[in-house]
Amino acid sequence: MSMNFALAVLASSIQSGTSLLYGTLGELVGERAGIVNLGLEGTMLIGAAVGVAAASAADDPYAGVAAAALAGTAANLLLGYVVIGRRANQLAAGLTLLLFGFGASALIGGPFVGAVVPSLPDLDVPGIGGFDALIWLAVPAAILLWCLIFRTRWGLAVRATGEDPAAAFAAGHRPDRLQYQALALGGALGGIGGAHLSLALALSWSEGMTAGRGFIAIALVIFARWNPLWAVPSALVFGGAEALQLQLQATGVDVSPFLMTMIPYLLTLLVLVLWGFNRRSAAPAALGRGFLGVE
Amino acid sequence: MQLDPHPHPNPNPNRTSPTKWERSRRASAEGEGRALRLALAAHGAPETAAHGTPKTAAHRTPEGNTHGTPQAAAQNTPKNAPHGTPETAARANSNTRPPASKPPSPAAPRRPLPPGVRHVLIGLASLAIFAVLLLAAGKDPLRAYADTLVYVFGNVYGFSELFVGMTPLLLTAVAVALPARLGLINVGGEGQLYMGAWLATAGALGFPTLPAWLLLPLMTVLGFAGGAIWAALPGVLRAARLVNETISTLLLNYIAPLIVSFFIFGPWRSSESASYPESPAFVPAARLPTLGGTRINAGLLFGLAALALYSVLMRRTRWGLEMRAIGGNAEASRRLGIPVARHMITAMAVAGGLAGMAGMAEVSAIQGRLVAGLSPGYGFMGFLVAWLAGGSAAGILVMAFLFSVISSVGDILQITQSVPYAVVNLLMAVILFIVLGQRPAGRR
Repeated sequence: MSMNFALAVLASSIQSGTSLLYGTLGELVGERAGIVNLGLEGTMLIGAAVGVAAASAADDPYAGVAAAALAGTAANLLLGYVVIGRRANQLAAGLTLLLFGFGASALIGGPFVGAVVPSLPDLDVPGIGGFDALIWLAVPAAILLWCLIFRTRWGLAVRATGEDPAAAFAAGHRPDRLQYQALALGGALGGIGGAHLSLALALSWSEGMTAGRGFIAIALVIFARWNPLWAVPSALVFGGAEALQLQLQATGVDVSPFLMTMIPYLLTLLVLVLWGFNRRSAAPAALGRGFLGVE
Repeated sequence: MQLDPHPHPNPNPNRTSPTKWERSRRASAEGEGRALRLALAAHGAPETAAHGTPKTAAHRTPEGNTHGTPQAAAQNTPKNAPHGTPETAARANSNTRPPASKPPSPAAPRRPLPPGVRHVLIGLASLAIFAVLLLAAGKDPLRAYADTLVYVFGNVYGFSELFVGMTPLLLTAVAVALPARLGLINVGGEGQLYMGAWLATAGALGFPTLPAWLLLPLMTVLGFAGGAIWAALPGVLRAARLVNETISTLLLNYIAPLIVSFFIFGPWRSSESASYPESPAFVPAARLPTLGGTRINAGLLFGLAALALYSVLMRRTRWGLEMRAIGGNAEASRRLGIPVARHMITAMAVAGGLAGMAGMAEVSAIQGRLVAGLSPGYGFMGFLVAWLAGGSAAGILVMAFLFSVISSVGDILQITQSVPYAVVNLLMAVILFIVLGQRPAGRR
């Protein structure tokens, strides 16, 4: 347990925390507009599979990332149509999106099981080290999203929609449009998160490879108190739980890998319980409720 | 709303103090709202409007007799309508499943098709969309559908397999429908099934010398206990208002298979199968009896019994009435003296136990040993079955059968066209999206 070990864990937690961070940001922006996307896991799976397929087809990992962002957007807009356009229940629609993503990604990724995927190259920065482009962009993305939500008129309108769509409507905004826009942005971020998983972390496609990261990201939104800046340390901590587990296995600690794989899920539950004691809530007030228009 | 736990993803608007604007809006909605809510109570109790709870169950009040029941009290609480009447009314509408019994909706744009025709159209449209998606992936959907028909209805064994596939779905669907009556969303059927299978296996491996008449009931009880413990945990956390049960049951789904894997790769690893990790085969006394040459097993009886019990319990007992009252308005129920927290934990535990029995039947009758990848998503399918059935027992029976057919489409695709089985989730998702999109605008 030396300095090297700690550094390895840190680098590894940055690696595995990145997809979590993108996913968390994607869920966060949608929830700020009042839409719970319980299907984030499905969005990320689609991003991962489309990323692999497009990167292989174009032989360019960045094309894979772009395609994944588009596919994630499309997946979230599908959810948006059902919950905003058709006013369906958000939790049921979210779980449906999860199934949709699970099935669609299995269909898209099917031919690429076991295939070698063009991976995101590391970009070296002297003095710090080499990480891929998505990792370098992750923290700026969080800051940008914070600015977007808290420092622009659009962000103000989105937050108003999340707190009270009727009030936002009365103030001259279109809650439905804002929710679609927020979901589209969130889908792109979720898709990128999935693509980072398949193109930078696993370097391959396997069925259901997100393994619950979408749900952990949904929980991370709660820890982050719906604030993109807080999402950065939360994602790092949970990436760290995964990294520690991998590093411990690599150093040959004699604990079953199955027990160690549980660590992130158990940690998520534990922190949810601890957070549950806090009665003050930062959640958008109209989260999960549909806007029925003004009668 | 004392009992609303964590704000996510079921937010509680009452926690934030209402704005002046909201208060005035509420006050104006009060007069007409009360009359309409009372009228609605005769048809179907609205869910707590303050919740974003899904319409997993059709909360029906006991026919006719609503005055004096907890629900009737629930209707009158002003808290129940944070956003005015139309929303409350609209939500209540969507809860009464048979369109015939719906009160006139304030915003029904067009006459819905008769239910039978609509269901067939939904089914055909879903199959068509799924076929297009398969075509886009270079597969042959028509051959898959034809193969499925031949396989399923062509011979007795294929047909009997439908009932085999239906068995776990009945149990996991009731595991969703029961807590849904209290407004709880149990998405953890998958994990509960695994834990039931795990504990039942512990019984089978621990007492191999017992006779079947003792061992099988023991395994059933253990299977029930395994699932019950796994579901009671989210139930307790929810009742203590710490963690929302949706997210906790989802997370526990990922832990349970890891526990199973830990045991079959470690302490229970069979010596005879070095390559493929699995537990030693069960003794014959630990195998549930099957019917003739088929794989239809006693688990089907568990499922049918659970369904019948669920139906009777909800309709005919005080317990069921109190549970439905909690689903209607938890706060009003608490003030009426209903032990809300206890009911929540009990309902979750019983639900988990049923899913656990599905796991027990799976290892005991089908596999004969504990294996990884025990369930191809029975827990999630059960959720869809219960949701599409609107929580009605007869609906669950029909939907479980239909989902068993759909699931065999997945098997056929995997066997004949090497499409991953998981692709069948796409078909289920398409059906659900269509059903979700069906509700005409203005209703919720």
